[in-house]
Amino acid sequence: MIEDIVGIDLGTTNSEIAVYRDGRPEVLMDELGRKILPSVVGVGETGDLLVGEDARNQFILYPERTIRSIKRRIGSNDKVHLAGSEYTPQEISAIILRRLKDIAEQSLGRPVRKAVITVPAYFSDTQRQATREAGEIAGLEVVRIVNEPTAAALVYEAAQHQGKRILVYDLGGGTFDASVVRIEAGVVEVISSHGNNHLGGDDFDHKIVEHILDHLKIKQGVDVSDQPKAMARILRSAEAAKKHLSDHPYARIEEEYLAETAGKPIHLALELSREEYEGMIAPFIEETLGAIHVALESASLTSSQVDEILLVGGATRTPLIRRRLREAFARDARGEVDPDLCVALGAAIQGGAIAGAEVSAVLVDVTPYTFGTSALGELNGELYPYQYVPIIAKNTAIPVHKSEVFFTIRDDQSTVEVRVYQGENADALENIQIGEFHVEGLSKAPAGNSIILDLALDRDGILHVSAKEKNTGLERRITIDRAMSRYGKDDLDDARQRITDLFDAEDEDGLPGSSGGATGAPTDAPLAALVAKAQAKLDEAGDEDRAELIDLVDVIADCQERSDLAGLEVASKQLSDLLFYLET
Amino acid sequence: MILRRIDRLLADRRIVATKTVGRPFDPRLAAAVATVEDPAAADGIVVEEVRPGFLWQGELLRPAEVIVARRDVRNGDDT
Repeated sequence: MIEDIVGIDLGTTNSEIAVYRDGRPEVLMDELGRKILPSVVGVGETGDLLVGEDARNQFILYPERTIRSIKRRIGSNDKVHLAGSEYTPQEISAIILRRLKDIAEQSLGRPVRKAVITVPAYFSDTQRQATREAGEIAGLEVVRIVNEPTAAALVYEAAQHQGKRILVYDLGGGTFDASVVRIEAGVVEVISSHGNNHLGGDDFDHKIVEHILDHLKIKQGVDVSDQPKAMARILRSAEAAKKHLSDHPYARIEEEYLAETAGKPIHLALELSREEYEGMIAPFIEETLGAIHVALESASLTSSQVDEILLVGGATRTPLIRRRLREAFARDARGEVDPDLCVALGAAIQGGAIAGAEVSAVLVDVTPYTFGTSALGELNGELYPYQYVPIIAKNTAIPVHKSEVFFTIRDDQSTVEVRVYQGENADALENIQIGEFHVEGLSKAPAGNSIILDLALDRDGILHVSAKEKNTGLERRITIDRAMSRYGKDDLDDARQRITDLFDAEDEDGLPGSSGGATGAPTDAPLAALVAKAQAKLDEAGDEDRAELIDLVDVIADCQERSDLAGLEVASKQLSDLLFYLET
Repeated sequence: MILRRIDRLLADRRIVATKTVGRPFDPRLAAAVATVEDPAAADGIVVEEVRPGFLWQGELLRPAEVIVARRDVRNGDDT
């Protein structure tokens, strides 16, 4: 058997360990199923060593006994103080590496002796040597030190023989690097690198925190910035909102009883739109684009000479980054491999290659097509009603769930027409329409009424589409099977017919997920199954639940009799929710 | 009704909330989100829970977030 050579991403904020096996790299998990180890080391109250999350947990309480971001000091002669003793940065890094090694040994069930460790491309020889020493202190033979952008490129392009120039955009929690990498006959080389050591996703969180504090000052006249409990909750809300806005146009920020002022409770409730959020972080993103230009210049390249852009680091999930890169490079950046784990996976590929395995790039399930809708917009500088608005971009890892907001164009507009397309053309009519429906009965509102269109594509290629009026919750959903099948022009009519049939069926019985063109009384199979399930549950349900089940079954029967489709939909939804509770 | 169901669900699944308040801070079960000078509490004792933590069959599902009593708070040795 070939000996394992593990790959380690020893990061400023987080670290991971991965191994190449069964033809692919895999990040190894600790006993609690965690893949990410915070790069934090501490000594607990009783003198025990803490590494990772446990150490991070005590940072605020015992900063003098906790060390984070040691990577910023590796290679220096600084001594760090930890619970009364002095350590070198290598020794602290070694503690993190040792913990990773233990995780790997436990996960693999055999000793791990050799490793590839990644470092930033700008690391000096001294810093690389210190990293190597850290590995040796941890009991690892460091077979190679690899640049982080090189590792990322390997994940996407290992075994690539055609020469390519790749830009690696790496935005982590607290550091940013842009690197130009050349890959030629399987050899990867970093040509240039530029970045900011103190820029990352944490800055985005702080912008949202500031926004929330301002909101509280203006709307409620309170300043909670000196109240640690309130601040802790605000920071957590801000992080959650940031993540939500990666896939949705709005985030609700709600914290009840956040604080008290003059005996009265203060509740926080505000909505943050992606647009507002992007306004806050735009200066950071512009700074990263500036760094890219420096990196390109030192590589003597123009933006059009870049063959591929790769996204690395958790903060690159922010859609504004992709958008700005598309504007600057006229091509889509790739980020389908988990950006938090990408570098560790690349290190494992390098380790596998050194150990003699035949390595290849990581394959991820992606959508080969872009899905989107049409809206009033501009095409070739003219107003055009069918401008294509992509929502799920091609090469996105699946399953994926994205939503976007659209606005009505007339006052009191009561209906919107939603068309769903597959394709890349800016003119929606040049793409392939795979679905169409109307949302009727919108509330009376001035033009600009928000409609949220939500697209979810699952692994089986089924696209779930819903459109919802934001202020009332009025919603219409459809399901498109085989959304990822390739529609040739010849198949187009077939496909259209199939879709039309699907919609006809749905319009008739008004229930999502039903099939067949049944006419007359809506006695379809899923509904019958639901009612049968409810009846089967009657015996085991508690009194209160039983009464509810009986009520809902009655309501459904009543609606069927009266052909009340809307009522039927509501009641069957309530019934399936109740059954869900009872079953879990 | 919803609350009752959630409680039942949690109990069925053997998920229990960790107890932290009034006990010494344990970094394996809780994350310190702030410190306070509280003359009524000894150093290192949890005085308040900001968010509860949970155990599942004795394994940590989510750490609690807590505020801990601390006297003589010095500045951290960071970055």
